[in-house]
Amino acid sequence: MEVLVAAVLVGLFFATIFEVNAVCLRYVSASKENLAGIEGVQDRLEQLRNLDWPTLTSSTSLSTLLTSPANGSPLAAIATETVTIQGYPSGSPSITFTRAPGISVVPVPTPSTVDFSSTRLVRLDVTYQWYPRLSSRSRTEKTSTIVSAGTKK
Amino acid sequence: MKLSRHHKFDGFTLSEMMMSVAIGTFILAAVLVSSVALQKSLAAVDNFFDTHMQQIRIMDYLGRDVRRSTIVNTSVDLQTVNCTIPDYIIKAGDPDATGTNIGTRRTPTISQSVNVVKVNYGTTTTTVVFSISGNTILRTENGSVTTIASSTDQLVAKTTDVQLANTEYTASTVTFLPIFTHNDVSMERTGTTAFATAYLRNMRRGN
Repeated sequence: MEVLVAAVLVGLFFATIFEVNAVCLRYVSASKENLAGIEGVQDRLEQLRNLDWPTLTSSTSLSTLLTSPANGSPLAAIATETVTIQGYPSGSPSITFTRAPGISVVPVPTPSTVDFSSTRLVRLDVTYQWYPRLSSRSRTEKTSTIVSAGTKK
Repeated sequence: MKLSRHHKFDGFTLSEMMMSVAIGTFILAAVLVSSVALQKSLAAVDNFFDTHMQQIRIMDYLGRDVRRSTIVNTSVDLQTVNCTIPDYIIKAGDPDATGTNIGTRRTPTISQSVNVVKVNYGTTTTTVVFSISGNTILRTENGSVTTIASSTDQLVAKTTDVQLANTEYTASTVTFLPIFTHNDVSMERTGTTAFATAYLRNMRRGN
C-alpha cells in the first residue's frame, strides 16, 4: 500500500512537471500567433489604405489583392480573413470578402458587387480568425480604419 | 501467571536495503533533474517573451519612420535601412526657427497643379538609419544614436525595399535565436520570424 501511494505521488509529480512545461510551450506558440495576427491585419490594412479610390471600391480588384496573404507569415495561410468595406458613417453600401485559409485563395465577396459611386467615405474592417494548435477555441484579431475618396501625392 | 513478552525485531536484509536505497536515489535524482529542467524551461520562456517584445519594438520604430519617409534605401544584406524624412518639426538652427517655435510642428506650403496637391516641408530633411551592431539594433537620427533593442538572442532585422510605379513599401522580418535551440538552428530562427509591411505615406496613391 505504501509503495502504491509513493508511486502515485511520484507519478503526479512528473505529470505536473510535464504539464507545466507543455503550458509554457503553448504560451510561446500562442504569443507567436498573436503577434502574427496583429501584424497580419495591420499589413492588410496598409495594403488597402495604399489603394486609390477606384481600386479600393472595386470588388474585382479587391478579390485579386486578397488572393494572396497579407504577408509571408505561416499564420496568414491558416487564418480565415474577413475584409468588410462599408460606407461611413451610414454603414451602407457594404461588401464583405471572406478569404478561406490557404496560400492562394480567391475570396468570396458578399454581395458579389456593390456600387460605391456615390460614397465618399468608407470604413475598412480587417479580421483574422484562427484556431491555435492543440486548442479548439478560436482566436480573433481585428482592426479598422476610415478612408476617404480623393487623391494624394 | 506470568505472560511472556515476545519481542520480534524484523529488519531488512542487506540486499533489500541496497535495492530501496538505489530506487530512492534514482527517484531523487529524477526529481532534481526535472526541477532543474523546469526552471530552465521557465527561464527560456521568459527570455523568449522578452525578445519577442523587442521584435515588436523594432517593427514599430521601423514602420513609423518608413511611413513618414520620402526616400527609403536598404543595404545589400538588407540589415541597414536608410530613411529620409521631411523636417516636420522645427529644430534649433533651422532657417525658420525663432525663440518660441523650436520643437513645434512646421506649417507646410501647399500647392496644387491639375490633379496633384503638393505638400512641402522645406528643403532640409532628417536622416534615420537602422543598423545592427553586435547584439543591438541601433537607430541613428541625424547622427544621434539610440539603442532600440538589445538581446543576446542575436536579433536580426532584414528589410526589403520594394519600389513600384506609383508607390513604395518595405517588407521587414525580425528573427532571433532562442536560448533553448536544439539541433536545427536555422529552423529555430525561422520559427521566430515576425513580418511587417509599411508603405511610404508620401509615395502612395497614384491617381
